[in-house]
Amino acid sequence: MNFRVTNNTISDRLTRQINNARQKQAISQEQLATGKKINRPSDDPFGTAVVLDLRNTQTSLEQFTKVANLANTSLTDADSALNSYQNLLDRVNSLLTQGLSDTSTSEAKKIIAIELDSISQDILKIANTRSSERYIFGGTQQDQAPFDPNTSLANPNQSFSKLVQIEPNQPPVETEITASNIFSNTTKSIFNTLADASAALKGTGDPVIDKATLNTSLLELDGFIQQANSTITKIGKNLNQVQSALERLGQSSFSIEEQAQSIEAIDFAKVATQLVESGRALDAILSSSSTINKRSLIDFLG
Amino acid sequence: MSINLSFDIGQKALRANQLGLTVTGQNIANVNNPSYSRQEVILTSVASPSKLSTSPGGGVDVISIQSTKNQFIDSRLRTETSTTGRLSAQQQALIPLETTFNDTGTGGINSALNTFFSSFRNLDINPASTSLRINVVESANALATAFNSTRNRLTDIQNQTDKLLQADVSNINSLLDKIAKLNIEIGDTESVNANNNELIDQRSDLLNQLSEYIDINITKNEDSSLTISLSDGRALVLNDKVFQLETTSTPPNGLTNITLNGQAAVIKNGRIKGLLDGIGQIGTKISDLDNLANTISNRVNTLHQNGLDLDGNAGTSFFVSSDGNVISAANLSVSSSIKGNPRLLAAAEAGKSSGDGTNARQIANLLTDNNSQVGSRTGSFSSIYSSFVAEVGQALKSTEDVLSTQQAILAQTNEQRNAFSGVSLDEETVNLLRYQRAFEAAARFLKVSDEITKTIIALGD
Repeated sequence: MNFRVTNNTISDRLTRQINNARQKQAISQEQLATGKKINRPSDDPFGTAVVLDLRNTQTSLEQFTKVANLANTSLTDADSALNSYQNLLDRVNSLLTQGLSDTSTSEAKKIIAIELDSISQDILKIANTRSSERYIFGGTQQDQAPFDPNTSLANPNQSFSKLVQIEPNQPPVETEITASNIFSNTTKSIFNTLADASAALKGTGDPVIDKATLNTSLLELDGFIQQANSTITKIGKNLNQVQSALERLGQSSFSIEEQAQSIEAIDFAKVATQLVESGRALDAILSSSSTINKRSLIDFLG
Repeated sequence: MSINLSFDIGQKALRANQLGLTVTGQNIANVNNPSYSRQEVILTSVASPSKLSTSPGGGVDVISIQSTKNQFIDSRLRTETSTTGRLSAQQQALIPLETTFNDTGTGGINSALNTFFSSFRNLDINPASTSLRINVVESANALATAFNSTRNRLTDIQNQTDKLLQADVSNINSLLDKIAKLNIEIGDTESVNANNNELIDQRSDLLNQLSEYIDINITKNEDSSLTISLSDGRALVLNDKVFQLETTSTPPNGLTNITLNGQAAVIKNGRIKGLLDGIGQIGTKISDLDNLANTISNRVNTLHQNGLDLDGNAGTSFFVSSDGNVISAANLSVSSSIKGNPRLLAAAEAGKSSGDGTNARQIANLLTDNNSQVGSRTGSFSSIYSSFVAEVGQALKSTEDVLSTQQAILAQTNEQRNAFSGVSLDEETVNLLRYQRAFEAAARFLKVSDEITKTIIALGD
């Protein structure tokens, strides 16, 4: 630096140096206040885009978690409802076996028939179970009772098992199995079978036909029991799937937050040190400026 | 040696040193005037009036008061001023653009996109729910509003930047007028050989101001007037004539076009160029947003029309244009019939019953589907939007990076100018002393000459 130093040179430089130091101080201060390195896109354009993408993924994972929790509730509801159904079917099985036994009197058979009728009503209630305004076995017809509460007739509108996607980029999971796949087979419903059996037990006049009907009913019941068992297994499988999805969602959500932090979070100790350093630099500039500006030839020459 | 010559020499010395003191005073007075160039008195010794070898010289003469100017530094300073002007104007235009896209909180397009597609995800689990359907309609409305208001803000920023541009052009024109007037005054003083240092300083200051706005070519004419032209060679100032820049607004968006004599003005640097660049960059982001809104509405509408509503009817257009033009960020809105009756939301897949959520699920999955085409970009809606944000950030960052280097260059050039032409109070104090002492000595010399004269006159008594 070998040139004339004029008064303007000194004051221009001083202004610039103070500006620079203040700017550095302001940047460190902002980073400390927000805890972030990236406070606007221009701080780190690429980092901003990555963090934005990560946060969006995070939001979508949170959304999936909500959906998966709801699916979990539906499946759990269905599972417990079907367990009661299974118990009722077991009871029907022993009642029908009793009814078939030659030792049963017609009085005893009538009592069995009454119990069957009441079990039929219980099963109807199970099939029409509602949870938060929805029929849990409604499938894709969640606003319509699967079986008519008065006539036990199946809802004529076709319904399908309900599928819901609970994880990003994964096929949907069957969260609600439609009643027709549980309580009906291709020809009749459990209610038809129970009604037939009950009528036979009450006696139609021909004991031979009644016995044949009861035998048929017992066979049909076997079919329904198997249907219930396999549905419960299926629901159990789906519940497992939902629960492991929930676990995965929680884990990736955590690791995404970590990644985002690693990009945008500051190292507090480092930035705090920078703030102190820039403060020192500013002090040095200010105190040296007063020294420079004090000295002038005018002071020495009268 | 004639006595008269001594008086002559003394008188010239007094005059020269007094002038030196006055010029020093002028320098001190202008110490804080950044466009002032330090002046010096140029002296020369006067040759002896007689041919005799023993006769002394004739004293001192003032040739001129010279301004310490360096054409090279001055012209570099103007170029650096132009570049700095361009970058800082561009930064000025890009900062509000960045603020618009600084979209990490709620209320922006990014969060509206997430909420909108999430609402379809919610609908997937319970498609018959009226409250979830209302929720979809509301979040779609919020998305449309976010697009509308962001675009409005961008148009506002663009118009405000355009106003700055117009103001700058009128500043340029008034500078051109002043320069032309100074051209005349300088020509007049030049013809009578008068001191015009201050006028030239003023003109050079105006040229610096002008070059902050535009890049100019300067040619000096014989009469010291300057011809100022654009980089394409067309004159803005020719002697005392001024050719003003004109602004016309061009449809469809009414942005300013700058012309000279009816033809587009070629401007490559300075604030004007920076503002024009900034306006262009804002325009690009406006059309990016328009394209994004258009693609979102197209893809959502296509799926929505394939689905079935709660009553088993085929879906209609979900998003519509509020003004009948092609759907853009400006006119994106939710179909009013769906707004009025959320049952019309087609959540079910064709062939399935109303409680099916397959179609809602497919719409929800659009957000992260990587095959969306927006302008020349392909990717998911969310990644395309974050690339907008990154681009805006990158544009501002690179402008600011170059600007900070450029400011250092400008400061250095200014220091160079100061080193050459600036006033140093220390130097001027020394000059004060120098001229004061010389003045005192010259007075003393006159007194001695006077005494000698008296002595000679007394000889005759």
